[in-house]
Amino acid sequence: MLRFFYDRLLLAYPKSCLLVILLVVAVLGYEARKLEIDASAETLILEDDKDLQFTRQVSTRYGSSDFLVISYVPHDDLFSDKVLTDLAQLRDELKALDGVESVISILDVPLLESPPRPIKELVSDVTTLESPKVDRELARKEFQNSPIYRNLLVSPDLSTTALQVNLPEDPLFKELLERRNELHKQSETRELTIAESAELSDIESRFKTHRDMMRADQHRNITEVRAVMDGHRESADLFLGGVSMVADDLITFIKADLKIFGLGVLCLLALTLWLIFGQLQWVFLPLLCSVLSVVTTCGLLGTFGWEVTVISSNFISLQLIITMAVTIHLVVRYRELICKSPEADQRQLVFETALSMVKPCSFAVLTTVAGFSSLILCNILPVITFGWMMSAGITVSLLLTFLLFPALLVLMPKRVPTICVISSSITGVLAQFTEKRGRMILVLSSLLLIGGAVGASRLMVENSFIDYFRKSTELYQGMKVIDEQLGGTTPLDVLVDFEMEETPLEEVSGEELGGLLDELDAEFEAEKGAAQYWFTAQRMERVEVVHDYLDSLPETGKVLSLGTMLKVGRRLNEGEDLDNFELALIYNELPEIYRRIILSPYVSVEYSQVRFAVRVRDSEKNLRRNELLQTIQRDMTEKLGFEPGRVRLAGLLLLYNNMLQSLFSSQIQTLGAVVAALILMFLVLFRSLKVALIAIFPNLLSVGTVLGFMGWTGIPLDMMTITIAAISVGIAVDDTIHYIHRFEREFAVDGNYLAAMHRCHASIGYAMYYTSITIIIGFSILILSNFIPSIYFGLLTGLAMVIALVAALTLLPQLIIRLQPFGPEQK
Amino acid sequence: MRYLFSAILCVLLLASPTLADAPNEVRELLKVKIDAVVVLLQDKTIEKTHRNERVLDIISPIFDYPTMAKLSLGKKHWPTLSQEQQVLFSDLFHKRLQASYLEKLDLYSDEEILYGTAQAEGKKVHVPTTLVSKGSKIEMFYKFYRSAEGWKIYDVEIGGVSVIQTYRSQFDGALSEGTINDLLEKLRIDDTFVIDAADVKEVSPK
Repeated sequence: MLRFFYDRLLLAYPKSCLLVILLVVAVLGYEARKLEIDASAETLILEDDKDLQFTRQVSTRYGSSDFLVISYVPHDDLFSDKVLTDLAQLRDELKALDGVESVISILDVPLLESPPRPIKELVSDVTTLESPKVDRELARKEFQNSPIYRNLLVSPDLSTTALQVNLPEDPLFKELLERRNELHKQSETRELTIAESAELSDIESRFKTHRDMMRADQHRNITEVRAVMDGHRESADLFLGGVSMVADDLITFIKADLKIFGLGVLCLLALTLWLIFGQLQWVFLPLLCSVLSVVTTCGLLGTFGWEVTVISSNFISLQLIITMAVTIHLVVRYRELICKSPEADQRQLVFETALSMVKPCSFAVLTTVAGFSSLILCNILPVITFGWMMSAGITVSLLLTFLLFPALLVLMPKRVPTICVISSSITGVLAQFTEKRGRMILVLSSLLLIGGAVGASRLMVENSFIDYFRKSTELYQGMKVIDEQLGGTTPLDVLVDFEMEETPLEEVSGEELGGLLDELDAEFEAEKGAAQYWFTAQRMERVEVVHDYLDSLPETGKVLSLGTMLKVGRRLNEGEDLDNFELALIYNELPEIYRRIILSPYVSVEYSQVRFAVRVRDSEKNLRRNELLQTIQRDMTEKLGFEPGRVRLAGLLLLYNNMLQSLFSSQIQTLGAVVAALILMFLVLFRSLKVALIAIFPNLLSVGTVLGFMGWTGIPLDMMTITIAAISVGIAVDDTIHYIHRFEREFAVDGNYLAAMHRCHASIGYAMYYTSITIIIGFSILILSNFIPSIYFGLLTGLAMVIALVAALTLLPQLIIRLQPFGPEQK
Repeated sequence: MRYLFSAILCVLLLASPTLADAPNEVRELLKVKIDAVVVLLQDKTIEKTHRNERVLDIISPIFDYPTMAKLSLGKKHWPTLSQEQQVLFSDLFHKRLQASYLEKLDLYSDEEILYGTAQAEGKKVHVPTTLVSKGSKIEMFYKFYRSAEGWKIYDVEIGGVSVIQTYRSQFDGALSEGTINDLLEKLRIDDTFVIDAADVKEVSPK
């Protein structure tokens, strides 16, 4: 079949075939413009997380608006004329921007205790820092001690202040998002009707279009805000923060990674190819195959709407590297054949090259696909998508390379290389080492495996989002300031359900009061569920107890809740608690504008529920997220006496922790799956259990070393590093396959294990060596990323490749020689 | 038979002229009382203790403190109290209401009181009033019922918040966590159980 295809079709009509291939690539390449990048917070969390539903429900119930935070660290005293003037100017410039709805700074918030006055007066005459006769010393004290402003607008030491830049709400986005999520939820429980499916696909496309428009606006907004900030850097250090800014910066990072690494890897690979082969065609051909493969894959991703996330931001470089590895094997094989039979004609040589390499390369690619496919077993959406993306990409690479490479090569003139044997002393040295120091190799390998296993057992999943970024990035610096000075970055919601009022229709037990009194009693009973009466002293007392408890935890920064309002109320009420009646009146009479700020985000009377909006200091080194969440849950029931079902947690910290906690199981699952898949493939390929087990061993050694190294050096598992093990096994196993495949053939020549080993090292060994070096050099460019997990990914995959190469050229032949899986030696 | 029926109907109608006139009667009753209190408040020559005594003399006849005490516990809790506890509770509650009322009289300045149209519902009449001062308006509802001794106030609603309902929710909460004796003790000493009617002025920036 393959013979027929190559002989009668591809190599017979190479130009026509090329035309068809290039047409397909061009069509798909055109679709590549649809390739999209997604860096929303949702890409960092688990796909089927029940807490995600709850968190969405909480944010719908309590409302959430989008804003940016500018941390402003003045060079002079915060309350000096100079600084306040600059701050006012900054605020006014920001306010004047089109994409900014309002700005809240220390200049705009009402001063409640500077000086202390009765509430009646406060309301009729609001004083701010900008009021003419304000006492700044009193204001300074108020900001430092206020339950609301401290840790929110100013750092406790007053060295830093924050400006909250509110962005306009986007009701359409919210509406589309809610409807989309609703339909998704429905589709999980039952099959959608035809109308619903149509609506879903319509909403999906409208959602995407709208989101893209919104992102462009957001990017412009952020750029404008940054430009305004730049005008004030002489008086203060300014940092931008906020969810939209993180997402926007991440998109910028991803775009930069895609471009820089794509181009960087391409240049590095070109250089490596030139250094190895010294002939332009061996630079041109592999590069062309790699680039067209990437273009085609981008087209496929655009067509299917798979979006590039932080995790998959290096898919271009990865695909370039893997495609290059395949083409290098083809080049090496072709050169081997041309040196062996220089008189053979080009078509015959190309035919032989393609045919002899189809099997090992297909298996090598299949194993790599297995490595990437195993990622779909974990339940982190961007990792799953990455798995699919790469599996599709590598399959494209295999197909395109085996079509393009022969079709192009057959059209090129035959050129016998000037140097036929590209020798590397390293493979020779390793062959000698394997022959002479067999026992040492086994001992060293065992030690490495044991060390790796012990190290792997020390692996941690704890890592902070801040640490994902280089310290030099504004993203890191901004988050660090907010984290340390302004109450923490990662939101956690604690929701407490109070008992619901009985329904008014329910008959109240008890004796009659007598006559008309029963009628009056019924009147009150009918109205007792009214919202304003929800605020009882008992409930408020419990709210404050929970508030104080959450505030007392060392890991938490700012806590905002109904408790904050109660504390402010007490300060204004000469130290007296606000009573039921006052609270009911506040609830009833408070104008909507204030209600939206101080009540609605923290209490839902309808559901008899209160929300404590906690921010956790993410960069705290001793932060143990899982432990913290468990402690809160436990203390709320055991120490504060709430029934277990009445306290629920939500928010990004919880979702992020769920993702982190799933990493261990995901790591074991993906790795387990890839090893099982590889053993199966080895069995199919080599038809011997013994060979399959021998083949898997060097790969286990390489992955064990990498995981052990991470454990010993304290590199945590994260969404990106979790993929290293499976991917590096998938890539590194190529060496094993090529080596064993060749060994089988070489052993058949003279039935001598040692001689076969030396011949293998001298032939396929070089190809393995060069492909590995190419891959390692390719991955090394990832250290330039702004995204720390990408750097780890580059370095650790490189390490895995080194170990895999050395193991494939020492341990693997040693095991083969000792265990003699291809039968006894022929004397 | 037809005549007999008509005759009975006429007798019944004639027998209840007060109900037909009730809204106006109650509105007038309230107006007289409040106007009298306002006159006292505007007279700065009267000594405060004496003034308060006279104010209570004026308003006490229309406030049904015992009924308000019962309603504040409702039939869920009231019948569970012993007779002795009921007497004690009524007494403390009565004092609370009076104290909080008097405490706030000093805050009266020059508010104008507007009387709306009273609404009758069976044996109940609700009189809406509006307290108007510079730039702010506060709605107040006086809720009367017809007792054996005439029209009496059983609840006052200020800014949409019923005084009795607020006590009910608070007492219900207190009794679900503690005993009646705890509640009695709290009423005796704890200021959080005093409702400040004048808070309305402070917290309603509308």
